[in-house]
Amino acid sequence: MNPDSGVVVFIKAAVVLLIALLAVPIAVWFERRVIALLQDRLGPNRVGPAGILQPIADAVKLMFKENVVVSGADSMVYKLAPAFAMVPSLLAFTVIPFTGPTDFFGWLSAPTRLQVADLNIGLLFIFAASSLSVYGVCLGGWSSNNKWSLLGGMRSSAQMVSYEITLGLSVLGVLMISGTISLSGIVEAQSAGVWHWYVWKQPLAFALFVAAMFAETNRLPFDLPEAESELTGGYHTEYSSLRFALFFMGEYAAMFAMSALAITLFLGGYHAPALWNVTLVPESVAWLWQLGWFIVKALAFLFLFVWVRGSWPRLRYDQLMALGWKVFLPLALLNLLLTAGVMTVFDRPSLGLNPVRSCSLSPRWDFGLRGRAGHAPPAPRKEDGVILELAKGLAITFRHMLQKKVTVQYPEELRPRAPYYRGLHKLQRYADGLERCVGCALCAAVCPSDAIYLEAEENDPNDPVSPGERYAKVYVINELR
Amino acid sequence: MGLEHEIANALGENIITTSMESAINWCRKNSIWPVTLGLSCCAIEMMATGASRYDLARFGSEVFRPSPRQADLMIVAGTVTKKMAPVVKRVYEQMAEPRWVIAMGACSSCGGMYNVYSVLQGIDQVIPVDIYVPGCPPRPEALIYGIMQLQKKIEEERLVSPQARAAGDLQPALSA
Repeated sequence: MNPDSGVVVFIKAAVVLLIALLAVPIAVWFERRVIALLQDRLGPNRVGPAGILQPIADAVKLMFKENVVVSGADSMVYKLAPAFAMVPSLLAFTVIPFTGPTDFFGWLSAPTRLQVADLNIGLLFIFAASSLSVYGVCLGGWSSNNKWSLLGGMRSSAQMVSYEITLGLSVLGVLMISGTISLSGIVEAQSAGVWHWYVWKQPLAFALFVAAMFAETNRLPFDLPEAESELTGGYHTEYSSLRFALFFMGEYAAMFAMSALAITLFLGGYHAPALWNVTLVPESVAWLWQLGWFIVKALAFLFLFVWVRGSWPRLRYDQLMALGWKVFLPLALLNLLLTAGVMTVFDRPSLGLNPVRSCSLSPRWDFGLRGRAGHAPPAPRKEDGVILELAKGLAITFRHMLQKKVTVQYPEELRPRAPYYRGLHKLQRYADGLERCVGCALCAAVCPSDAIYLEAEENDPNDPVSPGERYAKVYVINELR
Repeated sequence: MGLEHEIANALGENIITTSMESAINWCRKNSIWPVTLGLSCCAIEMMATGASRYDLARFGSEVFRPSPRQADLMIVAGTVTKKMAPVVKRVYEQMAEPRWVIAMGACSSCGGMYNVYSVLQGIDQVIPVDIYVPGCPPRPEALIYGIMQLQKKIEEERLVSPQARAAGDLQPALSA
């Protein structure tokens, strides 16, 4: 079958959509389990093996919840906003190459990638699409007729617009080295092995990209739009049911889309690290091998997202803006200048004509890297301290992830109670075995929920059940009433 | 139930049949998201329930939603003063159906030790309550037990309109 035919493109689109949508529940489950491990807990473990069905329960429950439309809301915009938050994240998946060229077990007449559209401006497309998602957040906040939503939406717009600049500037270095903005071209330029991945040539850009990625997806430590301690729920305060689920899924899909972009630009895309390269597996299943590596890298990014969430506190809003405009933006510009300078002095790449040639790792490039590190301006001491503290935080949570969990699995195992504990709602006994209850039924009378049922009977003086005249023949506490 | 068994027999062991109702109830009971509503000292025990030692997350209930629209359960944890009562009622009314309420501790169940002019003598005077958890404050185990009881209650619910549900004795009438 011709790889350019509409059927093939449609099937590829369906498969990529499936990957994107399947990734969301897996990410939710992964996050809830891993964040629990980081916090010395167990996390969801009751539904299905290791709680794997938890996201399904959540999704179905949300689906069957009441769909609130707030009075005073701008109805049309209110209903469309969640879709605006979800769709751009899915759009970004269309240009990500998940595998190298393959004919899918001889099904196609010519090899093609598992990539819906191999646009030659793939990177621009992703930036165009992902910057649309700010509309979902902004309009959702505005149309809800709620001041907290509005504040959350405004914050989010400012944050996403600010950090998009860093995001865009940080990838420019990669574009300059690779000489292409086609994502498949950038991946192919990194095919020679793990040392040719752009993360080594552009470490600063990679760090900036990852940091801006956290801000773009509204994840901790940049989750100010949601900031539940100040804004209740931020822009999705008034959303319930499936519309809220769409916002929720949009966030996770955006996480994956951004991770996929970072993998493609800096971490060799679907290429395996040198030792486990594609030569190890037969040609026909190479694409599965590559897809597998892509997923492994995406999971590593997901772990990073969760790890950071479990370790760091949220920034204040002015800190967030200062960080974006006064630290990240100058650093991104500096990186751009250094890359351009190094390329001018040490290398003269053909401008976008041959991406593979211009990225080959020559000894001169190594020299250029060392030279750059030497010329980097020393960071202020205060920043040094902050970075050290952040690293310490990560180390602590990672150590706790590996430690034994402190959770007591309550219904199955019980903690020993202190001997003086009197809060147990059951029939108490004296040391000689006699019941403390004399069947006065006062407890049943005062119980606000009528949860106690009691029938009293006269004591047999020869074989007393309680020290009084009467005892409780039936004594039931039913919290369900 | 008879038809369900017949279908299950006809299809054999490899296919699971279930009614829509039990499937939805299963999902609902395993994903009870509480709204963050800590009023006083019981809230500390509620936090302890969510923390590492007791880990409410095991039941899928650790997702404390800041917005009542997204929450399923209101754990009224603490003393409800008469000034606070309208707020509690409003938060309850803002929650999307289906919604449940746990009165945690003596104060929210019946006023507790505050038998005074300023304290509401039990939140069941303003909103319907599903589960009362006794204690002052209840231990985290007690709250988890209450949530497990609520899970049992959800399992038995029928997918009918609130009006019809109010006619039955499964749940008190909900404010429509």
